[in-house]
Amino acid sequence: MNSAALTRLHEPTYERQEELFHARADAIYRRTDRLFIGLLLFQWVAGICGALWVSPLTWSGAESDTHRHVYAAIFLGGLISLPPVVLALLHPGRTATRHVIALAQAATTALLIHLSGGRIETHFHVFGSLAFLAFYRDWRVLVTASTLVAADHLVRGMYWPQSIFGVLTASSWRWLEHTGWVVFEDAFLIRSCIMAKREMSKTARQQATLELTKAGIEDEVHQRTAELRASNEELERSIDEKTRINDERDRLELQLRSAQKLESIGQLAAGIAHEINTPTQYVGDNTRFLKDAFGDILALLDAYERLAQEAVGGTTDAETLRAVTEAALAADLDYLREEIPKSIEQSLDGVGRVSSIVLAMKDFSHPGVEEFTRIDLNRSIESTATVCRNEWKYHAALELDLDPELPSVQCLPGEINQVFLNIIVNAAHAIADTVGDAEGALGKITISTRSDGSCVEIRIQDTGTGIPEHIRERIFDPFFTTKGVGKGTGQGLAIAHAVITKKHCGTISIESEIGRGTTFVIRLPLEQADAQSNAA
Amino acid sequence: MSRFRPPRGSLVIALALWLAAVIAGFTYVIDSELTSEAAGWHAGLPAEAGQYLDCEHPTLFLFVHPKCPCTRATMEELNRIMASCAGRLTVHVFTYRPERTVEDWHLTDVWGSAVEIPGVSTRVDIGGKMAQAFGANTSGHALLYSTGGELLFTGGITSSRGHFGDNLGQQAILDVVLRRSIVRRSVPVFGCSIRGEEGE
Repeated sequence: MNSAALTRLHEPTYERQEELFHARADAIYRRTDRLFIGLLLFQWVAGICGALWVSPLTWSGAESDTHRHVYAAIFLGGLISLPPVVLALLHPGRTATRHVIALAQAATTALLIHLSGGRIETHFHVFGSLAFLAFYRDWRVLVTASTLVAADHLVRGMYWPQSIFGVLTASSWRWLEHTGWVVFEDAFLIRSCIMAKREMSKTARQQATLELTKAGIEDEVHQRTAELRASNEELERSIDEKTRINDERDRLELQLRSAQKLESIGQLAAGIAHEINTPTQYVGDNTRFLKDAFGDILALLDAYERLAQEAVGGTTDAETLRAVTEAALAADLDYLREEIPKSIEQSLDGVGRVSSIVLAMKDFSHPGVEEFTRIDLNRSIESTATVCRNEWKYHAALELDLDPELPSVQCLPGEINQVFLNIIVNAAHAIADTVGDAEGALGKITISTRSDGSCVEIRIQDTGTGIPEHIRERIFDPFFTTKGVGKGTGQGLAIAHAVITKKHCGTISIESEIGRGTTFVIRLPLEQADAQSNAA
Repeated sequence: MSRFRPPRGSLVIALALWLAAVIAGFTYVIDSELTSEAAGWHAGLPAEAGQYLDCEHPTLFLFVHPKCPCTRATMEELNRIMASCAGRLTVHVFTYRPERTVEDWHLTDVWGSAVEIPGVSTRVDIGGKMAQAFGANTSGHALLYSTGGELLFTGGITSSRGHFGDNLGQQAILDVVLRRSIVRRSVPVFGCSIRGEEGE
């Protein structure tokens, strides 16, 4: 809307303008009426006091009586002042009221001049009165008062000139001289009143315009507020929808994480089975060997027992001795002496190996622990490396550089182990891509831990292919993968990122160089309460 | 602009009555102020006043009641006359004091005003005997005598009771003193009675 159209829109009506103008004028009339109530009463009392002070008594020799000025001040003064006061109280703001007040003020001037003995200084009262009457901003009131003053001078100048001019005979034009000075003042006051009324009219127009503008703005505000409210409601609905989607996404992520965990476990299961199968196999072989050896040794012991019985009876038989010798030869004692301890040692080693894998699996999975728990991250790393050994052992050597002084860290053990597993498996795959199927060619995975007081830092470094620059920002995106179909879901690093940053308020970053390898740097706060409050 | 609303009939009548009452009040007050006593004409100077007559300048005898408020205007007019005459007029102010009253009875602002006017001799007129000798019964009564003791003016030197301003009495005195005009004149006197019942 252009400014001209706005101006037309906010053009105040004449009626409203007039209404505001008269309301303002009425307020001024009423306020000035109240002022004159006080002034008239004050003048009346002042006149009485003046009469009592200047001429309280009239004398006749040694006798005195109340001076007639005192009576004039009381009664004539009251007659002049009280009716307009009553009128102002009963009918404030009325046109008649202020004109009566104007007449009373002019009459008061005449009385005060009389009471002061015609002193010329008292004539100044009329000038003050006219200025006071100008408070009404109604020039007609000034005309009323001035007319009475002029009439008073005219009549008294004609019949009692000494009562007003102080002389017995006065020029018939002298009343005009006095009236002229009054008119002189009126000229300024009347102009002032007219200008004040114009200003009031202008102000009323501005106020009416302002009201219209304000009303227009209020309408606009109401409209905009309604739009804003609708927009807000839409936004709230959108937020609710987003919250619902987020909840759904969290739920799906949880499901996905579980699925990925299951996938990991599935992948690991074969390796773990293989890891357990190898010691189990040679424990079985050794046990069977020990069983055979024990049979041979038992046959030899039987021969020795018969020989011992015959020796006790003194009837040692050559046949028995030959049987003992044959049994000893059959048992091959020298071989058994050498192999049985080895077999037992190997079996114990195999059992220990199985036991350590089982323990590592237990540590890895942390069944039943879903709350923040203070754990030894070094042990977690060792367990995870053990569990996934089958994933890396054919392609890489694993080197652990773990800080023995590393403080325990408050975390979700299952989630953190999953992060380590994902990164180690990724490292193994990256190295596999580098070394291929070359016999005896191994890469290297180095895992180190350090602490700087408030955080621990875990660095998992591989000598794999490295990550190209253009995909580094996307590797933590869900479903992003560079692996072939069936080798990865693209969830491993996304879950690792979510677990570290969202659940543990930590950081995860990468340092990578093409052809030389990649290092994942994980920083975890020692205390979750501090980290959560800082994040908030 | 303001809307002029004519007052209702009852208000007009009330306003007219009020104005009439005010005018009547003023008429009464002014009329009473103009009540005066005619100054009597005495051809010669009383014998007991002969000692006060100046043989070089006209002599003005003024009789006042010290407590008459209207006489303040008389003293003001006397001051103006003395300022105009500049030593060419001898003035004796006789201030009334009743008999058997305290000695400072007459020490009022009227007395003080008379004392402060240069060239004016102020005297106490106990019992108003001197005023009686001159036939002056009203405060503010002035009598002007020539160097030969001839009465040239008698009356008041204010235009009305307690009113300041130019007046016939003042004019007559100035005519005699400044313009040496011998016009015998008598004007009314406005003021309190000097001797009251004592004078009757």
